[in-house]
Order: sequence, then structure tokens, then C-alpha cells
Amino acid sequence: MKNLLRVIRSHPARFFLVLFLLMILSAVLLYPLAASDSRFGMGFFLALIILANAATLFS
Amino acid sequence: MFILALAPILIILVLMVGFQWKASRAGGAGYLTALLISWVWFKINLTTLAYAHAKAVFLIMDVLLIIWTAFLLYRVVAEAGGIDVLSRTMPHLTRDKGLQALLIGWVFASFLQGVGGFGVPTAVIAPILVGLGFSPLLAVVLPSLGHTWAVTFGSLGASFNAMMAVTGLDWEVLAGPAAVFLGITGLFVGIAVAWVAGGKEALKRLWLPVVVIGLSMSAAQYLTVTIGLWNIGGLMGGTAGLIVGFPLALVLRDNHQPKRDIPWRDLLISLAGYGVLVGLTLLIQLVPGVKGFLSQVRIGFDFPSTVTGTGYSVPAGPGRQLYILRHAGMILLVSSMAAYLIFRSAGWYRKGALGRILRSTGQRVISSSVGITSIVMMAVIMGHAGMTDTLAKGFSAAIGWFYPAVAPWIGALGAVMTGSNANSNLVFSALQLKTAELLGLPGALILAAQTTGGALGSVAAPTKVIVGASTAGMEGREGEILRKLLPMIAFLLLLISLITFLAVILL
Repeated sequence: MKNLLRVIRSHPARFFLVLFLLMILSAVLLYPLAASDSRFGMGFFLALIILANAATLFS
Repeated sequence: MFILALAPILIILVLMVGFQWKASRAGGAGYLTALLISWVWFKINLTTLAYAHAKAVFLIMDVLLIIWTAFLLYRVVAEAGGIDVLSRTMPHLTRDKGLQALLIGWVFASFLQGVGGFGVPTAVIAPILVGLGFSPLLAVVLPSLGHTWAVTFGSLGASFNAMMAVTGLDWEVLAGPAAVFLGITGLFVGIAVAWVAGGKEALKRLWLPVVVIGLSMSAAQYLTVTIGLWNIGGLMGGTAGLIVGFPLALVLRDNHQPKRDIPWRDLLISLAGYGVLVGLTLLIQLVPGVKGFLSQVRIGFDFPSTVTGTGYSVPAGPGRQLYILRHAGMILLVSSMAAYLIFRSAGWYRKGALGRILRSTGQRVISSSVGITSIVMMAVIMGHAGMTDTLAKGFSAAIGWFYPAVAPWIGALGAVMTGSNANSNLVFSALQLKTAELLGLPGALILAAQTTGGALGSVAAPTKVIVGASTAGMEGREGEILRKLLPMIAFLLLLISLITFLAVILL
């Protein structure tokens, strides 16, 4: 995990690419989760988007 | 509640201006603030939040597909040396300093904004003007001012597309008024460029080229966008300027000027990629059956109605639909590939060009993509929580009948703070439309004022001024550039305020 984080943080473009994919893919998944009213799923992926946005503050 | 609703926007503005944060960083802060406020005070629920995020994805992809591929096409041409060919040819046309300022600082800058944007016009042109003997200050100010009117429909329509995406209004409604406002701005930008370059004397001498070129560029942009080709509106405006400006310069040049051959073959190859783009766009939009055939592949969701804890509801309906095969981004991608093959077969690339093109494109667009993602998510959350509605009610109550005159300044403020016309449109278009609806004003006119203001304000954004200064060797002297630029921008904004106000009263 530590190595993975180091690889991601080693290049700004790579770091932003990971954040971007995390936000977009999580947001897409929120549609079927909302349609099936899965509160755990919605909470989980919303938390990922929040984390990705919080991570931009340290970019 | 008004202050709370305004807080996410204020946070972004304060962080970007006061603390010099990039959009990618400030956007994240704005998103988190909007999320917190919408949850605690506007009582948005989990399901509404989930649908809002999913809806935002399609808006984001609609905007980003164009930004990514527009920059890709620019890099394909630049890597082959196509931009250099254009840059070398322009100064050969005339020795007249005022005409050089017009042709390079206004016409060529507008063309570059049409095909590239992203700060390219000033970055490319400032060194050329310095080489022609202009002071570094003028070398930055002239192209900065010269390309303003082409920003909205430039960058292959990225800023205009952003406005359509967040308001949900079609080009049929928005393109005409925006093109009229920007066209008028374009003519006055020409006057301003001549004035800055040579004062009253230059204006007296060059009024005819200013009027002829200005009307040609504005008319070409208007005609292009009002038949649905909004993604090449800026490109066609700039091209019209080059087509009219080239012969005009040859006619007006003095007989003592040494004649140099213009490399027509190289020029044609340089412009081939953009030729493919124009051809494909015309084919899809104008040939019956092609658009319908390509429209068969559609990506999008249908969204149910949502209600917050405070009772604010958003009706059910389809979100933004992506017609992927006829999307401007797809047309740009195909044009980029065609341009690459043309340059490669002409032997214009050095070894490893493809890798350099892809790497530089990726590195350039990914950070701004994150910023746009955060800002659009923030805007959609605000819309679903009723925050945008609260802001619009507050503005309509406070400003009332005078609002049309204020609308362009809001657009300009957004662009100065966020660094781009597209970002300003993403943040403020929905708010401007809501306020217009509450006041019973024509939304299309208010949005035309928003995007024209955004286009004008974008050139005074600190990030753009810093880039411009660095390309002309004026690092640390950004204040001088702003002092020269701001009175012109303020005058043009006042003009748009007046036009908007009169248009609302008369139409």
C-alpha cells in the first residue's frame, strides 16, 4: 500500500489521474446504488469522492 | 441562508485570488464546502446526493471530451511545427507596426484561440511581437486583448459547451445572442488593439482594416454558430480574419517593402488538420442523414425527481445525454488522427513525436480536469440542494431591474477568479439563468452577457497574466500588464452592460 501511494505521488499527472478516475468512477456507480436504495453503497462511494476531493487540497 | 449558499463560490474565489491556489485545489475546497453546507443547512439527503453526482458525470465528460481533444489537435499541429510556420509567415505581410499589431495581435490571436486556447495566443504571439520590435509590455497586452472576443467559441467551443451543459439549454437558444454580444466586442477589441499599438494616429489610419476585418470575423462567427456549428465558431471567425487580413495587408503594404515569398504549400499543410475538422463538422451538421445515423449511440441516464429535507425539489428528467459518435470531442479526435497522418506522410515529425504529443497532452489537461470535475460536482450539488435557487432569489431581490447591467460583471468576476471563461460559465451560468427567470428577464440574453463578461474577464485572470508575462520576459512585472489591460477590459464590460440593458428593454 505504501509503495502504491509512493508510485502515485511520485508524478503530479499520475496523482491527478488517480483522483480523477476515483471521482468519476465512484460517481457513475452512485446511479445504480441510488436506484436500488443501497445506503451502504452510496455512503461508501460518496466517501471515496469526498476523500479524492480532500486529497486535492494536499496536491 | 444566502451567505451560506454563497460560501462555496466565495471559498473558491478567495483561495484562488488571495492564496494563489490552482483550480484543481480550490475546486476541491469548494466541493467540500458545498457538500457540508448542503447536508447540514439545506438538508440534502443521501439519495439526492448520489443522483446529483451521477448527473454531474455526464456534464463533466461533455466538457472534458472537448478540452482533451482540442488540446490534442493543437499539440499534433504544434509538434509538427505547423504553428511555427504560421508564426513565421505573419510578419512577412507588412512593415506597418499598426497593421502588424492588428494582423498578429488581433486576427492571428483570434485564430489561435479558435483552434487552441488555453493561454496559447499570448504564449505564441508575445515572442513574435517582441521580435518585431514591440515593447514586451505591448507584446503581452496586444494578443491578450486581441483574442478576448474569441474565447467563448474558441478552444473548439469548450466555454460555450460548458454553459449549455450546466443550464440544460440548447445551442439554438444560446448561440445567437452570445455571438452578437461577442461580435460587437470583437469590433471594439480591434479598435482597442489599434489604439494601444499606435494611439489616435493609428486608429485614424487603420479604421478601414479594423472595420472590414472586425465585421468579417464577427459575421463568420455568428453565421457559423447559428447554424449549429458552435464548436468551430471561433475557428471560422479567426479564419475569416486571416482570409480577409492577408490580401488586405498585401494591398496596403508600401512599395518599398522587400517582397518575400510566402510558403503557401507549408501553410496549407499546417492548416490541414483544421481543414479536416471543418469538413467533418460540416458533413455531420449539414448532410441529411449523417447526423441521424451517428446519433444512434447515446449514453445517459434518466433521473427520478428528488426532494430535500427543506422541501426543495428537482423534477424528474433525462440528464445530459452524450451522443458519442457525433460529439465535438469525437470529431476533434478524428481530426487529430487525420492531421497526424498528414504531417507524418509529409515528413514533418521527428522521431518519438507521437509519444511527446500524448505525454504533453496528458500532463497539460489532467490537473485542470480534476478542477473541472470538483467545480461541476459542486455546482450540481448546489442546484439539487436549493442553494443556487437561494442565491438567485437573493440577487433578484437585491439588484432587481438593474440586473442585466450587472450580469456581465458577474461573468467577468468568475473568470478573473477561476482563470477561465469555461470555469466561470460552470460556476455562474445556472445562477444567472435562475435569477433571470425570477426577474422575468430573457435567459438567453443574460447568459450571453455572462459568457461575454467571462471571455473578457478571463484575460485578466492572474494565471493568464503570469503566463503571458513569462513568455515576453516580463516576470515580476505583471502589475504593469494589468494596469494597461484593465481599463480596456472595464470599458468593454461597460459597453456589454449597456448593450444587455438596452437589449432587455427593447426586445
